[in-house]
Amino acid sequence: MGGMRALTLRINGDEVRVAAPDHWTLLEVLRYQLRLTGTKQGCDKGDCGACTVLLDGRPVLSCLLPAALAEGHEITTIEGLAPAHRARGGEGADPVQEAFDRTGALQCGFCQPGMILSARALLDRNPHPDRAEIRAALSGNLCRCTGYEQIYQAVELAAAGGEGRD
Amino acid sequence: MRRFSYHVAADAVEAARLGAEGSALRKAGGTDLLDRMKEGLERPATVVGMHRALPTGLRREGEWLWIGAGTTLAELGRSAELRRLLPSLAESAGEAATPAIREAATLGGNLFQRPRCWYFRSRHYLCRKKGGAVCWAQEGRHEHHALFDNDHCAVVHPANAAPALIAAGAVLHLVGGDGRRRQLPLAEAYTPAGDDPEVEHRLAADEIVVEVAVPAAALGPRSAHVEIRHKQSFDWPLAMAAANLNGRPGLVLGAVASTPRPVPLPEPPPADEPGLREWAAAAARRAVADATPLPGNAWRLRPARAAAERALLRAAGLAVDPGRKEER
Ligand SMILES: Cc1cc2nc3c(=O)[nH]c(=O)nc-3n(C[C@H](O)[C@H](O)[C@H](O)COP(=O)(O)OP(=O)(O)OC[C@H]3O[C@@H](n4cnc5c(N)ncnc54)[C@H](O)[C@@H]3O)c2cc1C
Ligand code: SF4
Ligand code: FES
Ligand code: FES
Repeated sequence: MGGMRALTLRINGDEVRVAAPDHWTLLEVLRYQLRLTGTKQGCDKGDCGACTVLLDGRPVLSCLLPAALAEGHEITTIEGLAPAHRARGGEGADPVQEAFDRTGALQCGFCQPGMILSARALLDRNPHPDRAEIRAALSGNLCRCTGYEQIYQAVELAAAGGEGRD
Repeated sequence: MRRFSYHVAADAVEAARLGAEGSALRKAGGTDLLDRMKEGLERPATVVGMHRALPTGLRREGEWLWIGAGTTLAELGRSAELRRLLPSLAESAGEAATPAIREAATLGGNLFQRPRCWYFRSRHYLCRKKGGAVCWAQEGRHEHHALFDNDHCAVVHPANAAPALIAAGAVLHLVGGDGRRRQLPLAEAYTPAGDDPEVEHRLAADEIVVEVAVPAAALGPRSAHVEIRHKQSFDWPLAMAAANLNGRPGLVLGAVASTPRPVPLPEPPPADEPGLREWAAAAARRAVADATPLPGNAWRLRPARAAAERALLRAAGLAVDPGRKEER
């Protein structure tokens, strides 16, 4: 029962081949096979949002996604944001990452990769969100430290920079 | 999670058939199933993936709006067509859970997710729903549990999408493992926990929902979904209600009993605003009049009544003043 499966995943623009047991989630493949530990394992059951990655640009919870289902989709993890930004001709990190840094939108940082990816997905769809839209887009990402205010400010700052990107 | 092998069903008949074999379980978005498997409540040898087997999206055909069972809650929430045709469903799907869960969760999975009673969801409690002799919620913590039909097992039906669809008279289109097809009104699909807490619905083991059809008479701007929660960002509802005043008036409460709870509306809504407001308040009072709350959850009668009244007012196009003091 429970075989291994050869998977071809597209992660942060690279094609990656891995063999994983059928019951492994994308989160487990990312962290424990590919060592992409930026994606965090919090509750492991859909409650906290720490494991958020982008699948074709949309936020999904990698802890609830069997790895095999990620085949054929473009996966973006936190590790992929800065290189993608530079590949588009930008400097430094993704503007959302820079904005989190500038507003001090973190304490322990555990929620940050998921927050930033949810914010990135929002700004790609809606470059000028209002506060209510930001709150709604981040509502599945729990932060036990900051009280959220600087996180919302960071997203507003990234958006004010134009298209949330530059 | 325990090991399992993963099989992607090629079509709906295969998904229906394989899901009924041995300990196999079917997965749509997996947001409910994987949670139960991680908790050790389910230990299937095979998981049957239905993402290629279920239709997705909306279509108008004949006198119906057809919605594929594989459509995600996010797609329903984003759909401008659904906001026009059945705003109550667009709102209820678009507010359920969190943005990332809505991207994966499907309509079929939402309707047939299992209840969220914390004793049921913990492997450490053997309760009536799992073949045990005790309902731990009766003596234990039950503030989120049922206000009606709760003396045997006090779960509430969790599905956000169900009240809006039942208020609209929606019909499930089912496919069986041998290719047979049948229709089942959603209002008749769920079974009360008082009958047998281990059984939740009337689908056969080898049947799945492929589409949900909403009659044209229920389509239009006059429907609404209202959900009252402790916290406005993602939280499970304390009570929810959906109203549909397009054709035959319908009002259905959710999260208050083991099945979504239709509320009889004996008279048609009056045309004038004061009359309508009075009518909505009376219907909302009736909606909770025969409740049998547990000692620790009677306070939820007020949110339940408020949700019912606000859903009717919003469906009628009238403003709701959430700051208004509700009568006790
Ligand atoms: C943090 C959190 C908050 C949540 N909050 C809410 C909320 O506020 N409101 C709400 O409604 N839900 C909420 N949910 C639950 C969520 O909406 C459900 O888990 C989701 O809708 C299930 O859909 P799925 O496609 O992922 O189902 P799956 O997990 O794939 O399946 C669930 C069950 O339905 C069965 N099933 C799936 N599709 C079909 C079909 N076509 N025919 C027959 N049976 C089928 C499966 O076999 C399985 O038993 C929440 C979940 C989480 C984790
Ligand atoms: S309410 Fe139902 S599921 Fe919860 S403890 Fe009681 S019997 Fe079990
Ligand atoms: S780790 Fe996935 S939601 Fe918490
Ligand atoms: S910074 Fe610690 S959880 Fe958000």
